[in-house]
Amino acid sequence: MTFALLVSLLLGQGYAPQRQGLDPLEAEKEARVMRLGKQLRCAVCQGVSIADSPASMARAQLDKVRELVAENKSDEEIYAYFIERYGEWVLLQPTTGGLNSVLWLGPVALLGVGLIIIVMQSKRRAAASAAAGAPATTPAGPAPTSDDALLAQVRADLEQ
Amino acid sequence: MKRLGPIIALAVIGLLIFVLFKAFGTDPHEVPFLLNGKAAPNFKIKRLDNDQEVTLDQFKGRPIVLNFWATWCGPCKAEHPVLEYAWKKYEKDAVFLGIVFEDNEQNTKRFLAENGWTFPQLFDPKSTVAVDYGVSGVPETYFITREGIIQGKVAAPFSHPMQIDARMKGILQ
Amino acid sequence: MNSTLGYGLVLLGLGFAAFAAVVGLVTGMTRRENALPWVQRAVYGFAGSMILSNLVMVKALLEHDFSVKYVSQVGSKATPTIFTIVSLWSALEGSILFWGAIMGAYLLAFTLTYRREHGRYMQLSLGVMAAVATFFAFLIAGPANPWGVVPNPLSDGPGPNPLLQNHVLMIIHPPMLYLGYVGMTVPFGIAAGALLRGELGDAWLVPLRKWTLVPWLFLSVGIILGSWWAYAVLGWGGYWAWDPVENASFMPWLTATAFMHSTMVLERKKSLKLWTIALALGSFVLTIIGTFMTRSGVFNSVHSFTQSDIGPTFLVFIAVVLVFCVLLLTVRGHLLVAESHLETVVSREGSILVNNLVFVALTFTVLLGTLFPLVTEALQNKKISVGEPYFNTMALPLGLLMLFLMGVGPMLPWGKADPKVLKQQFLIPGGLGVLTLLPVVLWRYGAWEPLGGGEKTFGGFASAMRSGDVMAAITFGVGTFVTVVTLREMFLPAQQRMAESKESLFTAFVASASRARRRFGGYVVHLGIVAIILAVAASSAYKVAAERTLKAGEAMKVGDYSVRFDGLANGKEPHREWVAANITVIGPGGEERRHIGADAPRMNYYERSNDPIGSPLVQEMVWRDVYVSLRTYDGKAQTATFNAWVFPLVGWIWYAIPLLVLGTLIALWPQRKTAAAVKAEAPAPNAATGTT
Repeated sequence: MTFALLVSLLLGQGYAPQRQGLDPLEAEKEARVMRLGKQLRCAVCQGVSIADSPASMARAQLDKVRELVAENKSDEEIYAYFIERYGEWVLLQPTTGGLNSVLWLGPVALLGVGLIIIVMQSKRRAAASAAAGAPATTPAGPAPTSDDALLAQVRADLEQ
Repeated sequence: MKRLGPIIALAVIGLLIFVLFKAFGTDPHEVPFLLNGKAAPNFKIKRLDNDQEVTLDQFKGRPIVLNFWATWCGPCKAEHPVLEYAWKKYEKDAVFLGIVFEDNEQNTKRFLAENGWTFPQLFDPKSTVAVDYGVSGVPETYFITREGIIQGKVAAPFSHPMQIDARMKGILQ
Repeated sequence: MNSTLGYGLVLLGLGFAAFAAVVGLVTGMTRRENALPWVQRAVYGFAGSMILSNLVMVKALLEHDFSVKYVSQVGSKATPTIFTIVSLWSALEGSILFWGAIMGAYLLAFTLTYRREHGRYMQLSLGVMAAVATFFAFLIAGPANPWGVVPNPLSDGPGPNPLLQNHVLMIIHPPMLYLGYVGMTVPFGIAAGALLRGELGDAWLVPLRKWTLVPWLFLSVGIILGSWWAYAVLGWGGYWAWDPVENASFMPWLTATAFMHSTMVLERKKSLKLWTIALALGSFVLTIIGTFMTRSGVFNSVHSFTQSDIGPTFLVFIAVVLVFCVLLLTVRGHLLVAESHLETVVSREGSILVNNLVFVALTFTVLLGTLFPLVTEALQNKKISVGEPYFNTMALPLGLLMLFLMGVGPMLPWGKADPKVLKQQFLIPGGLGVLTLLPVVLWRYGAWEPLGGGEKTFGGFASAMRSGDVMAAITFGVGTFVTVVTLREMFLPAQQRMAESKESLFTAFVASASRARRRFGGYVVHLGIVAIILAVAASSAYKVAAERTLKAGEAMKVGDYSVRFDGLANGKEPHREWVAANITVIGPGGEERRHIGADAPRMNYYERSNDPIGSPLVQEMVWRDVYVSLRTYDGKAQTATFNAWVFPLVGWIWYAIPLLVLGTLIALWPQRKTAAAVKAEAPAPNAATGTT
C-alpha cells in the first residue's frame, strides 16, 4: 500500500496523529506509574514497554496505568487488569512459577555447577600435589618485599 | 560421565531444534487475546454525528459487532464497504458500532462524508475503550452476544462479507 | 541482463565453494596434501564470483533496474545515491548476498595470508569454511535469491525501509555486524580443522586467536554502533532493549570474549584445549543462531527482516552444525590432552576460568531468555514475554562480577599467588575504588552536584538507593578499582625499564608496550570496556526525564537544562517530508543553543510508512547528552509535546570505540623481528606463542 504524500502535512492526514497522554500524577505516584509501565509490554509495538514506547497507543495504555494508580489500586490489581486482556504475554518480566523457574534458576544453576567444578578441580589438584610431596610453586627463601615481588611478577609475565 | 556428556548435548540440541521448528508458522507479532468468553467492558463515548453519549449497556439483548478502526489505516478503509454491506444484511438482527481511535474527529468526519456511512460511528478520543478491549492493532472487530459476552475478535481486515457471515452465525443464535 | 549475470555468478560461486569443501575435507582426511592448491584456487574462485555478483547488484541498484526482483523491492528513484547503495543490505535477500561477498573476502584474506603455511591443517580448515560458504551460496541461489526476474518491471519502486534511511550510522553499522558475524566462520574452520586433524599445536593457535580477534572487533564496533543508531534514531532515549536481534549479536561477542581469555590459559598452561576449541565452535554456532533469529521471521524484533522462507533451510543447517560440533568434540576431543591442571582458583588461570564461567552463564541467560517464549509456546501453548526487566535483573550481577574480575585477573600471577603480595597490590586500587563510592553517594545525598540532577532530600536519597542507584555506585567503585589496576599494569613495566636502564618515561613506555603487545592491547581494550560499563551505569541510573506539551515560547525543565519551544517548521527532501519543532536548549549557565529545522526534533514522513518516524535531537556533550524527542504536535494550536532527557556520560559508550579499535590493533600488530628475538633469547618451546 503506497500513499501519495498529502500536501497539508501539518494536519497529519494519512498518518496516525500522535496523541498526548494524561498529565503526570504527583511525583511519587508518577514514579510508580513509570515503574509499572516498565514492566508492561506495549500491545502495538515490538517488545517495548509502554513506558518506553513512543507509540500513541502505548500512551493510552500508560494512561490506564495512571488512572489505576490514581485510584490507589495495588500493583497486583494493575497487572491483573492487563493480564486479563493479554495474558502473561503482557508482563515483560515473566512470573516465577512452573516452567518459568527454568528461566530464573537455569543460569544460577549453571553458575553454581561451574563454580563447584572449578573449585573441585583445584582442590583435587592441591590434594594430589600434597600427597606427592610436590614443592610449593612459590620458591621458599627470604620473603621479598612486596614491591619487588610485584615487579618480579610483572617481569615474569612479560618474559614468558 | 564421559559418555553422558554428548548424549545430554544431543538432547539439548534436539530440544532446541524442536522448539525452533515449532515456532514456524506462529506469528511473532500476534498478541494474545484473553477476553474471549468474558463480559464485554462497558463504555460511554459519543457518536460522531450527533454527539450523543452511547453506552454498550443500552444494546443489551441484541448481538453487537464492534469495529475498531482509524482513517489513517489503509486496510480499515478497504474494509469499510465490506462492513457497510454486512450491516445492511444484519441491520434487523444485530447492532453494528464503529469505534474510531488514535485519530482525530475532523479526519474521521471528512472520511465518512466522502465514503458514506450508515451504522453509528463512535469516537474514542483517548483510546480508553480500545485499551479496555485489549485492542492490539487496527482494524479489529469484536463479536458480542446478546448476553454481552465477547465471542472472539478478528484482528485483521475483512475483505469479503462471507467472512463476517461465518462470525455472525455465532452471535445471532 | 543484470539478473542473468548476477545469478550466474552466484551459481559459479556455489560450484567453487562446493568443490573446495569436498576436495578440502576428503583430501584433508586422507592426508593428501598435494591437493591444497586446488582447494585454494576454488576458494579464490568463490570469493571472486561472490564479490562480482555483489558489484553487479550495486550496479543494478544504481541503474534502477527494476527488472531485478531485489531492486524492485528496495529501489526507488527518489532515494539518495548513498542510501541506494546501502539498500544492498537493507532487506533480506540483499543482506544474504552481501553476506556472501564478505564470506568471500574473509576466505580470500585467510587463504592468502597462510598460503604457504600450516599445510597440515589448511585443507581441513578451508574445507570446513568452504562447506559453510556452500550453504550460504546455496541460500543465495535458492531460498533467498535476490536475482529473480520481474516480468513487467514498474518504472519506480518503494525504496528501502525508512528507518534505515534516517541516519548515517545505518551505512556503517550493518556491514560491521556482518563482518563480525561472517568472520566467526574462520575461527570455526580453524578449530574444526584442528579437531579433524586431532591435534592443536602452538603454531595453529596463532591464526585461531588472530582470526577470532578480527571478527570480535567488528562485532564489538557493530554492536556499539547499533546501539548508537537506536539511541540517535528511535527516539525513546534508549540504546539497548534486549531485543532478540540485539541479543543475537551479543551472544557470539560474549563467547568470543571468553575465548580470547581462555586462549591465554591454553598457551601458557597447555590446558583448557577442548574448552577453548568449544568456545570457538560455539561462537560460530551462535552467529548462525543469531542470523536465524534475524531472518527466520520467528522472532519479534524492530530489527528483524520480514517473514521469509529461509527459516527451515537455516534450521536444518543449525542442526547439522550443532551435531557436527558435538560429534567432533566427542570423537576427537580426547586427542587434545591438557598438559597441566589448575592449582588454585586464586591465580591468573583461576580468574580466567571464573571469567569464562561468568561469560558462559551470561550467554546462557541471554540465549535462554531469548528462546524462552518459544519454549513455553511449544511446550505449554502459552505466549509469554521475556523483556528488559528479566535481562537487567540477571545481567546486572553477572556484569558487575565481570567488571570485578577485570581488576582482579591482571593482579593475580600465573600458578600460585603470594597472599602478602596480593594484599599489598590490592590496597591502592581497592582503596581508590572505595573512595570513588564516596562522591557518588554524596552526590545522590545532595551535598555535591557536579553533574546535576541529584536529589536533595533524605526521601530522595532513600528512593534513589532503592531504584538501582546502589548498583550504579558500586559499579563506579569497582570501575575505579579496575582502572587503577589496569593503568598500573600498563605502566609498571615501563617504570621497571626506567629503573633498570635509565630510559625516559616515553621510550620505556613504548618499548615495554611493544614488547608485550597482546597484553598491552588487551589492557587498552579493558579500559574501553570499563568506560562502556560506567557509561551504561551512569546513563541508566542517573538520567533525568521530563515530558510536557509546550506552546511556542514556553520552556520546560529537565535536570539543569531547559528546553524552549520556538515554533514548528516543515521541510521536504526527495525521499521524505518532515515537521520539526524548533527548540532552544538552555544550559545550566544560561548558555543557549538553537536547533532549527533539520537539526531540531522531527517527525519524518515517508511514502512507505503509515506512522511518522520521529528523529530526536541529541545535543552531545562530553559529560552528558540532552536528548529531546518530539512526541506529537498540533499544527493549528502551534503546540508540541516533548520528551526530554539528560543522560550523564552516555556518550562514553561510543567514545570507547577508538579504545577498542586501538587495543585490538595493538594486539594484532605482527611482531616479526621481536618474535625472532624472543625465540633466540628464550629457547623455551612455548615462548613464541606467549607474547606474539
